[in-house]
Amino acid sequence: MGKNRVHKTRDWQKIIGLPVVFGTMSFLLFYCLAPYVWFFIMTLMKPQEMMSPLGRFLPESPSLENYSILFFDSIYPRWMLNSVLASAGYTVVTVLVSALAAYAFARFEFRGKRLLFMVIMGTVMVPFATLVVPLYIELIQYGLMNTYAGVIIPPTVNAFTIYYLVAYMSSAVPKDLVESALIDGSSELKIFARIVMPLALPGLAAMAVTNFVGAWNEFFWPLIVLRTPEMYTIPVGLPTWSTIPGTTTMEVHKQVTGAFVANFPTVVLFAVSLKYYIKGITAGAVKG
Amino acid sequence: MSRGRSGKRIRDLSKAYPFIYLLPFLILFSLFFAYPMIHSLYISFTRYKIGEFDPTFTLRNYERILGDSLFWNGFTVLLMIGAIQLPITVLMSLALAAITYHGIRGGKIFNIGYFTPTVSSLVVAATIWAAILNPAYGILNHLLRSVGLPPQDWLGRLIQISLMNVINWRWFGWYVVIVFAGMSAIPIDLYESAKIDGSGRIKTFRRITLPLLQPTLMYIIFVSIISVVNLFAEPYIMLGGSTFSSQTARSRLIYTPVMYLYDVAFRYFNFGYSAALSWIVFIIGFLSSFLVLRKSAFMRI
Repeated sequence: MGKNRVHKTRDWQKIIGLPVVFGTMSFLLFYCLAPYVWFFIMTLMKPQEMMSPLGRFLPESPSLENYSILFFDSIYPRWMLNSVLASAGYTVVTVLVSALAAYAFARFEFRGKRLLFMVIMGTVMVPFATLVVPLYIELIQYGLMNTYAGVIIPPTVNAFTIYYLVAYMSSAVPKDLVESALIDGSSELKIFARIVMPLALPGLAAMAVTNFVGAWNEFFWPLIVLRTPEMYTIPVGLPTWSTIPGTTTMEVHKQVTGAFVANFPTVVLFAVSLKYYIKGITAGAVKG
Repeated sequence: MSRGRSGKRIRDLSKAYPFIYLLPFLILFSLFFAYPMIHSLYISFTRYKIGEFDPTFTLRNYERILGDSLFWNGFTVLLMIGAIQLPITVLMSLALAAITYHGIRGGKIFNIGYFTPTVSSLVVAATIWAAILNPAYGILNHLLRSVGLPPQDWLGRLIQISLMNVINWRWFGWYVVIVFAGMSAIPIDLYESAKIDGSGRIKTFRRITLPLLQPTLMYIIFVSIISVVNLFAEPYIMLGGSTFSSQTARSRLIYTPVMYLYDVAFRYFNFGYSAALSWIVFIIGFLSSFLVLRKSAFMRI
């Protein structure tokens, strides 16, 4: 990020003045991060304190009780396992299938190539909601309702991943290298596994991280497929710990703590792979 | 590229290879995209409720949409978000990317901070804000009271503003990073020659940065239109984890078309009507994003 800064002189200071710029930026930083801090403080409160009629800033005596309820006395660990399995499964299938397809576009010329590519990219225009009813009927027919496969497979048609990997492979895998491997007598499969995949690894990693985070956060489709609490992923499960007054009000402490904990896997992944992640999300926005 | 007999053999084989590589994708694509899409169009022209299917061609579903106030209400919700939240988020990210790109000390740290909410799930983002904005125990009203201001009904009368705030909070850091990447891709030579020509900062921004940033901006506008059209999770959570309370005045304020077609399909089990609604949503999204998409870098091989 930003190796090629242009105007080293602090231009914006001259235009609007440093305090204004810095103040605004700090305020926005506060806006982005303060909700997490507040949420963390909330997890340390007793259920009654969380819901105290006029609200409160700090717990009387902070405790980790909510965490121990969440992990040892609720269904949350199961949801976490479901989320991990569904997200990992989705990531593996999507990246593998997309890598194979992307390689076909990056290396070969074939009839209808441009049209097929346009059609695949066009899929991003179709709201998932348009497919939802037929997919639901299909899933019932295949007996995939309320299963991991049912959550994982339908959304794996992923144009963004293919788009990114085509661009990545075109620049990271030299055609000459593939040609000379062919002349040396390597089989196609060997070339793909031994030459293409290793060279494309950073691009694949970028897509793996991006897709994992996306799947971890997915809500709409799992909400339709998953029917029993033991199969829920975290985003599907959390809203069932209702906060509506008059229903199961006393589960707010679980909902709040569970929502806070749900951030950890993605935040950690984001922190250790910042570079890949940024690469992944800027795919499609910047050519190449 | 003729390389004798063996070279020819390779070239012939290579005609089949692209399709072998494409095969797994094409299977998934046919089963879980092409077929459901055609099927969806088909059942939208039939009467199809659970346990009751009449395949005769009918325009009933589409006629019903014309007079369906719940659907058009949802459509105005989307229009409002598109007209208010979208420009605010885009302009905010453009300004912040420009400021951090053109050298503020620690700009990168700011960007990482702005980016943090984008790794939270939509459900978590909406849950956090629903707790902050809760009229009874939320911290925001507590804060307002403690400085002597009247508390507000953030999840009632003001729920649209609260919804737009959640979307903005969750996404603007993502936009900043993308616009920043777009700015970094602009060749430095252009800036240097502009400097030599003596054009000022603002002029340079208008003449060089903005035009070259157009594909990037079109891309983020495209992605935001698509995500507004698909809006579901955030309003769902802000209504307390339910779409079904759609009849109350407060929930109608943020009852989106996708929430509505979800209810039609999975609460009333009227598949035909839900499919028809989804095609109208698709057409609206398509018309509003196609022109934008064509100007972005996306879709070009």
